[in-house]
Amino acid sequence: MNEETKKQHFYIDKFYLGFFGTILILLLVSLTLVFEKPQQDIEAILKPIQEQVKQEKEKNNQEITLFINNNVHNAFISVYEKIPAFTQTQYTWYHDYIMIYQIGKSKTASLWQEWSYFVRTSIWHDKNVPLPTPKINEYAQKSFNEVKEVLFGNGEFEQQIEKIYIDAHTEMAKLLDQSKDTILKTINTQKIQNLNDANLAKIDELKKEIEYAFVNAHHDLINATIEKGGVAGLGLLLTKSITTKLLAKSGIKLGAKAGGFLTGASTGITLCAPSGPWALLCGVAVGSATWIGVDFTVSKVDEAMNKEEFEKTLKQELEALEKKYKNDMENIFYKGIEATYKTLENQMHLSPIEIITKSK
Amino acid sequence: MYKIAYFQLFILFATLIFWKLFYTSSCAIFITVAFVVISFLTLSFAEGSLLYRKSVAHVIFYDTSWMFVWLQSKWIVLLKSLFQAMFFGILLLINIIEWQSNLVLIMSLDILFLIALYIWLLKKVKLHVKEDVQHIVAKKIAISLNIIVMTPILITTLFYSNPPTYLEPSLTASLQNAQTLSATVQCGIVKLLYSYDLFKEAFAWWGMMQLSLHVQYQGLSFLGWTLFLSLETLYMWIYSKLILSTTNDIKAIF
Repeated sequence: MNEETKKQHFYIDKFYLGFFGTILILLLVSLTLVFEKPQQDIEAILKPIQEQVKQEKEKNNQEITLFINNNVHNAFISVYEKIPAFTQTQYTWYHDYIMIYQIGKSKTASLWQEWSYFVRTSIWHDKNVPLPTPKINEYAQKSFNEVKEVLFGNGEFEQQIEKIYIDAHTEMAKLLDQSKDTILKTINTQKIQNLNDANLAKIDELKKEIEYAFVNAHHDLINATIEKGGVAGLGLLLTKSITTKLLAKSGIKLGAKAGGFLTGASTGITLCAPSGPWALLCGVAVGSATWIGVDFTVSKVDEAMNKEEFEKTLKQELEALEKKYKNDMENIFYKGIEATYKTLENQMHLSPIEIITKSK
Repeated sequence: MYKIAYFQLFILFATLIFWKLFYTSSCAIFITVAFVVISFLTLSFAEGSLLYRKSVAHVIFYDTSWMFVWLQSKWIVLLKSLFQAMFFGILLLINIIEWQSNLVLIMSLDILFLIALYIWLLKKVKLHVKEDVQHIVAKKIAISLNIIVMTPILITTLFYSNPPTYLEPSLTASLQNAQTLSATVQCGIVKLLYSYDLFKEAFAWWGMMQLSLHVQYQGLSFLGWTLFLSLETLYMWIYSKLILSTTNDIKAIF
């Protein structure tokens, strides 16, 4: 390598170094200038808030779930304790006859009501007669009342649930207050001082938005507490669902009884047979007498075979309802939490990937 | 050895950085920057066009045909290229304003990648392409390869970066923010173009947000966003063309 090429080589190297060095320096300068722009600072403030909002939302969901689960389970324990007593009333052999007597009594009363209504409207032409209340499915109604009285302590359970619902609202309000304070604390005052006016205004707006979202949530909670209809309705639903199970149980029993009745008495009384316990109301003396005899044995067999199973099924049914009840109550609060935090989450700037994972 | 004008590249890079930093200032800066960018782009657009017309003229027509003469006329091509360059150049300049810091870094590094790609391709095409037009062919391939490589990188970056702060979930608020943001620009024409671009972005992002809120399937939402973000990276083409226009050698065609 001679002197000249060496020189040239050195010269070229210096040029390349200078060229790329200048580009690098310019790049670094421009990047620091771009990074120093206030919009980067506001991102640095917004990010931790966004994280905090996410955490608080999850925390609220968890805590309200825990609260509802514990309290509702406690309320249901009292119902579970009453199961043996309830089964006892259902499995005495004269239970159905007491019911039939009571229903028969009310049926006669309603027949009398209908008759008097007919006489007063058609014959006396009296226009101010109250309509007779239709008595349909008395057996279901009776069973329903029994469930309500024995198993659910005649409204005691519903009161308990209502109290839990109201307590959950108080708890939720407390949780939301805590969350609001935690989120507002995340807005770092030291970092805010370096922001320009436009971004300061943005932070102020965000603060207002946080306050507003939580005030709104409180308002919704209070409104929901006043409208307790939902809870009472839920209690009613619970009782009705168990009654349906009881009717199914009775259906099995009554089927066996009707069978016994048909084989025991074969003297032209088949018309009354399909109506089961209504056979008594048919006024067929012979059939009824046979039927009572059959029923007693069937009841005894029924009890020996099915009492435990019935208790087990009832327990299972109540547990399923407990779960459903918890879910229903939790969902009411989840919706509220979702609505509260949704406005806050919308305030933040999410990257596309966050939007996609959020909207699943 | 390599037909790269490093000084030109330096000027171009400095101009773009200057524009990114001082776009809010007077119209003089816009005109200066636009002049530099448009001149580079004009030559770049003209180069390919001239080569194509020359090839067609030589392959199809006799030297005596008026079509041959017309196809060889340089000024028409240059004028057409000037309009093209004005349109795409200003589009790119407005787009550069909106680049966030991560994009600035990626696009700056892309310059080095483009140059390296171009040098490598120049070596490769040497065996097949005639000397005079080697750089044009290498440049065309480099631009395509750069788009293929950079688009996934840019889409991934955009997927994981936050949208500009002026965008908000409510469309009205976004549009209002866009108006206040564009009001910071001194030069009237830049302000107008910039505000149009911001409005376009506000509408597009709002639409995408609504779409991903209503689309149940995550895969579909992902596909939609990918399509949208790939549309957002269309300036890659013009950017690559501009950076490699520093290798222009118009004499080879004239």
